[in-house]
Formats: sequence, C-alpha cells, structure tokens
Amino acid sequence: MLKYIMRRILLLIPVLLAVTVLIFTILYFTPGDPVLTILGDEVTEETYAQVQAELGLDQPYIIQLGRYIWNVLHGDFGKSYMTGIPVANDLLSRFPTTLKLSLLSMFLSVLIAIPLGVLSATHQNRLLDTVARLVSLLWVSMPIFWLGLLLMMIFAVKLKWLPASGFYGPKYWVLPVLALGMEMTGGILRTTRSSMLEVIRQDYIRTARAKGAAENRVIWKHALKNAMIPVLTVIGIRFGNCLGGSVMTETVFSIPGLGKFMVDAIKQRDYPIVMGGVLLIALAFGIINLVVDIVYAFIDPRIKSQYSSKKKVKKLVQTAAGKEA
Amino acid sequence: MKKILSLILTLAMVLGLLGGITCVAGAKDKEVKDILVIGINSNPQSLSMSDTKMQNEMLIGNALFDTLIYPADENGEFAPRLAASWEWEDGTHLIFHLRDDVYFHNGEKMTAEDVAFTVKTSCETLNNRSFFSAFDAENTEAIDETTVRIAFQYEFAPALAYLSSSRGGIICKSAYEEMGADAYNLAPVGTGQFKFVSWTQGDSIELERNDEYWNKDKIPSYSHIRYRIITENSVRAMEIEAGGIDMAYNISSNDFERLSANPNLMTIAEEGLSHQGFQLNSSVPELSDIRVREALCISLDTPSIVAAVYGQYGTAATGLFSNNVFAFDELGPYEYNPERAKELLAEAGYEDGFDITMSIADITNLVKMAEIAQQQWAQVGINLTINIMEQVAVTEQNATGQTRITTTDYTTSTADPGHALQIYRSTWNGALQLKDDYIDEMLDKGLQEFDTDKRAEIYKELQEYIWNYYTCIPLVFPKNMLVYSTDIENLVLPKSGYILDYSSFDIYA
Repeated sequence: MLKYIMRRILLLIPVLLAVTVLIFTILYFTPGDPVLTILGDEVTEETYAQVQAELGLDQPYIIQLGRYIWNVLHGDFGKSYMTGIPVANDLLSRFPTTLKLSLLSMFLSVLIAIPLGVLSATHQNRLLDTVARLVSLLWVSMPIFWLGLLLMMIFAVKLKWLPASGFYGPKYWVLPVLALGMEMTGGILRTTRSSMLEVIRQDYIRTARAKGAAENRVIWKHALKNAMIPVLTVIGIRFGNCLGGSVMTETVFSIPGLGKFMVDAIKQRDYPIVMGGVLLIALAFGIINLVVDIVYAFIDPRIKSQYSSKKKVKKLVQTAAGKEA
Repeated sequence: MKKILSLILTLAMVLGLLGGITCVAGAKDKEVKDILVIGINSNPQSLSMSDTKMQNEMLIGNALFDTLIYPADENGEFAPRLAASWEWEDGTHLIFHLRDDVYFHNGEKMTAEDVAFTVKTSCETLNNRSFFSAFDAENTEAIDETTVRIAFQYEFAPALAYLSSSRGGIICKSAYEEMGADAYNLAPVGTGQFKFVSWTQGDSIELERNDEYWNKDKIPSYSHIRYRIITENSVRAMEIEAGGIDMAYNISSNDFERLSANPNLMTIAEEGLSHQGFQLNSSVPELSDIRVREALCISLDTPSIVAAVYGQYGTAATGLFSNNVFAFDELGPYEYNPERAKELLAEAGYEDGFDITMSIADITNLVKMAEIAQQQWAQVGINLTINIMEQVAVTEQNATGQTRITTTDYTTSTADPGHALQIYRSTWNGALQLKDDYIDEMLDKGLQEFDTDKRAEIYKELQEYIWNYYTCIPLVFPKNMLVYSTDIENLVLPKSGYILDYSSFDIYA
C-alpha cells in the first residue's frame, strides 16, 4: 500500500510538469499583453521595452518557460506583475479560505445527499423519491450566482438574520456554504440514488435479507458500503472542482478565495499568479484523487488486494494453495 | 379562553411599551460610531500615491496622505495644506514653503527632502510617470528643511492643479527607502488623517485615526475606517441595504433607484469630472476620410441614447470633456441628421454603406450604448459588429492600432483641460492613433500659458478643432452615484465625485 502511495505521489511530478508547460503555452499565445495592462494608453516604445525587460517578457518563449520551471524548482513562483507581492504568499493566504469554504460545503452536501439518496432509492417511485429527485434537479440546475443573490436577498436584506457578504466567521459562512453545498448536493444525491438502486437488486443483498439481517442493517451497512464507490468518485471530483472553481460563490459573497483571485489575474494577464494558482490546484486535485483511491481500498477489499505487492499476492496464493493441498 | 386572550393582549402591550421606550432612548443619545465601513468595487494595486492610477486607490490615499495644496474653489484657486505658501520663481521653478509641525505616521518629521523625494519617485514609477512627465526630477531639490524647489521640463502652467490632485500626496522618504517600493505600496506611511493598519488582499483594508494629525480641526470623530472590497455592483447594493457597510461607491442605476426609496439610506447623484463616448481611429483606411467620420458622428441621436441607457443619471455630452473641467466649450452634441450622413457616405464612395467593427470591454452601460448605436448606424447603411473582449485585449488592439471604433470612459481628475485632451497627443498610444502637429502644438501652448484667460482661449480653440476632426463622439456625462446610511450626517460630495473629506462628516451608531 505504502509503495503504491509513493508511486502515485511520484507520478504527480510529470503531471504537474505537463500542466506547467500547457498553461504557460496557452497564456503565452492568448491575446492581451501584461505590459500594456500595466502601462495603459500612456505607453511609449521606451517604457514598453523597459517594463517588458523588467518582467522578462522580451525573451523567447522557450527561455521564458525554462526559466519559469527552473525558478519553480527552486521554490520561487515569482511576483505578481500588478502588486509586486510574491505569488506564494498570496496563494497561501487565499488557499485556506477556499479550502474552508469547500470543506464546509462538501460536509453539508454529503450530510444531506447521502441519507436522502439512500432513502430515495429504498422508496423508489414513491412520494419521498419523487420529491427528492425534483429537489435535486432543482439544485443542480439553479445557477449559483442567482441562488446566492436570492439567499442574500432573503436572509440578509429582508430578514436581517445573517450578513450578506464576507467570510469573517461562522455567521458569515452560512450563506456561501449553503449556496455552494446545495449545488453539490444535487449531483451527489442522484449518484447515491442510482448506485444504491443497482446494489439493492444484487444477490448478496437478497442473501443478507434471507439470513435474517435487519432491514436497516442491510441497507446502511451491506448495501451502502457497496454503493459508495461511484459516490466517492463524484464527491472527489466535486471537491476538486470546488477548490479551483468556486469562483461564482466567491464573487457573489465577496470571499477572498483562490478562484476569484485567479480569474482577476487572468483578466489582467498577471501570468505568475495564474501559473502558481493552476499548479496549486493541479496539486490539490492530484492529492484528492489519491485520497479517494485510498478510501476506495478501505471500503472495498477487492481493490485493496490490487494494491498489495506482487510478492505478497504470490505468498497469499501459495499459502492458499498449501492449505488446499 | 378569555383569560388567555387577555394575557396575550397584556403581554403585547407591555412588549410594545418596552419597544417604545428603547426607541426613544435610541433617538436621544446619539452615540458616535467607531468605524466607518465603505464598500469599494476592486482590490487596489497600490496604496501609495506615488504609484497609483485607480480611483479606489486615491479614495484611500486621501485618508493616508496629504497634498501640499488643495483646490479651494471652482475658479482654479488653491488653499494651503502641507505647504504654508508658494511662489513661482520663474516659469519652470516653483518654490514651496512647508509647515513646520507635520509628522509622518512613523513619527518622523515631514521636511522638504520628503517633498523632493515624492516628485523624484513619481517621475519614475510606472503609474505616475506619465502624469508627472512635465516635472524635472533632476533639478527638484530641498533648499532647506522647510523650503523646496520643484522644477519642470518646460513652462508648466497647470502645475498647481497637478500637485493638488491625489497623486500629489507626500510620501515618507525614510520609510520608502527602508521598506522598498513594493512593500511601501502595500503598507504606506503618510501624514494623513488616518494611519494604515492592515490589508487583507481581495477582502478589506483597515485604517485607524491619526490622533497626532497636525490639523486639529480636521481630526474625524470616528476612529477607524474599513474599506471592504465587494466587486459585484448588485452585492454592494444589497450589502448597504443589509447594513453591512455604511457607504457604497459605483452603484448601478437600477439598484440606485431602489436604494433611493429606502428610508435608511441617503443617495447622491451629481455630475462629476467624467465623460464617456466612442473613439474613432482615423488612421485606418475605413475611417481616414473625414466625411465618413462625420457621417458616423451625425447619424447618432445622442440624447436618445443617453436617455435610454442612463435615464436621469447622466446628461448628453455637450463637449469633448466634462463641463466641470476648466475652459469647457459647449459644442454639441453633434446634430442628428441621418439624411446628411447618407449623402456624406455617398460622396465618400460608400453609397451602399460599409462594415466596421467596434472592440469594447464588457462594461454594461458602454455595451448598451454601443448596441443602440449599432441600430442607429444601420439606418444609414453602416453595419457595425460589436466585438466584446476582455479589457486587456482591447488595450492591446488600441496600442497596436488595430482598433476601428471603441469606447472611452475618462475622468479628468485634475479638472484641467490639458489633462483631458492629452489623449489626442500624437505620443498617446490609445485607440485614436492621432498624429496631428497642430494639436500637439496647441497642447504644448496650453501647458505653458500662465495667463488664465489666454489658456482658456487656447483650449477652446483646440476643442473646436478636435470637435470638427470627428474622431471622438462624446455621448454622456455620467453622474457620480454614492449611497450612504442615514447614520452619516453632513456629508458633502466633492466635485471629483470620488474623493472624500473624511473629517467633514460624522457617523452615529
């Protein structure tokens, strides 16, 4: 298992390298010049050349790319073109906010979606199921921008129960987490439901019932555990998306998170921030995938056995064969 | 049943009475609130006035820094601030005698060295150097501790207007040198009414009152300011309704109407120093013929466009720049005459009209005006394609001369016509791509003329010339819109529309 984890972590290196090259290339060829953004209309040839040289943007593509990779390997992610703040500082100050928002939202959506998804499956085509499906469809299809403004209008402006925007403490977390969590809930609920429906028709569930296990135990232990693999995959992907893509939530609720920061940087062609941010998100995504894969193993012993080293498997087979003999 | 009912009634009455009492108590003792929270629309890039270009930055900078002088009235007179007095030595040298009792937030005394250093620094920084291009950094020097000589490259008449704008805020030499430019821009040290406390990037900026402020009459009654960065216009509007902020800038006109009806909020909509319109690039083949440009100008019904997009929150532009700028000449709007436009196009060889592209950034009101213009131009056979792009892409197109038509949104923060008309200079690398010797010559003349009447004459002549060049279609003088809570009393919006006098108002809890 440990060997597997190590291998996976090492595999992240070429992935990150590929991401760096890809994003750098895309940015390089995207219209919009950071030098002109800094200087505005007041640019002259002389100032243009000076700033371009200061930022190192006068070098050919391959040298710029090589230098960026070299600097990153030495822990230097560069400075923001606009503010002069080291990118690493900015990213590290914003990432925890996004992480907190994503974790809370995921926690909320899992708390709602999994029980509701299971109940929906066990009550297939009955009122509860219809309502749950309808609600989840509604949540999936509600644009978060609109939902955010609606929540704000009701709870902050009309009822004055909660603050409208910002992210300064638990009271401030409620609305954005609700908005983002609701959006995630829809997808997870639907996956849980369909996965459960498939599992509860399996023979081993019938066996469990036949041997007299209580219905609750059959559903929540035997069935749910087997139905969790696709659900976990969806949770992992949604969580990863949240880290990089909660731009809308962050914009609506004025949360100084990573997504909004990067979108602003893209608009201003602040390349070092975009590059650093994408790398951070790629790394986070890689780690989430790894964690999801490890959790698979804990849920499903068949997967766990695949991770065991060949030697171990051989040994297991041998002992099994020995026993038979 | 009766008993229960009477009990409920009694309880309701008691509660009502209690509510009444607290209400009366609330009205009686007006407690001064400690913190003023202002909602702004973007994260500043620098808070030092030596390297700034955004209005938000100047709004905050005005709390942190002091200028040497400030505009005293609308007639171009100036009043002393950090400078006690000043005089022109000759056309290119201006002497300032400074106050002797001003200290920076770090406790250091403000001297002539700091003033000279401010000018030298501003001549070099990316954002200020174009604004300070007339200043001569090399020959600007401190004569003694309280006397400084500011030198100019050429005779520079609007010098006082430039030095009185936010960008003239005096920075602390020792702190700047010790911290380095980047760090100073993020945590500046000034002499202003408020001291810098903290800046959470993308979220908020905190300032605290400078109790040692040199001008004791101008120390505000509240002790802190928090600027909250709320980028969405609609969210800023809701936040002020919810009471999360006390003051909000850049409110869109549809929110403004709703907020005006709210009894807990006050609104101000006043004409400021901005103008918006279209710019035509006369260097591209399609627009090089003046008849074509004139046709474009006169086939737009400016008042109807402005009424449709701005309603009562903007007036149809009557000249090249805001009518609050010195030497404004009322020349327009261009008279709407589609028949004449068709004739002009026919004369220029475009009987069947022609196709042209407008490249603009996604700014709601500008896009709306472009869409109406598209319909009006179609009436005379001009097929406009509106290309909505990111601001950076538009800027790049402008600078490389590829833009045909674009929009402009310009604020003449100095209220000086030379500043407003600088975009017509041949060295200006914007959308217009004008190369006209007469304009350059007149602009130089205007900058060097010290006689107010003669200056006005030069600029009026120049405005007329540019107006008849048909390279710019001014559309609207938008109003500055500010919304604030009724807890704030005695607030007056200054002409620039953006910059506040922080000590002029009080805020109550």
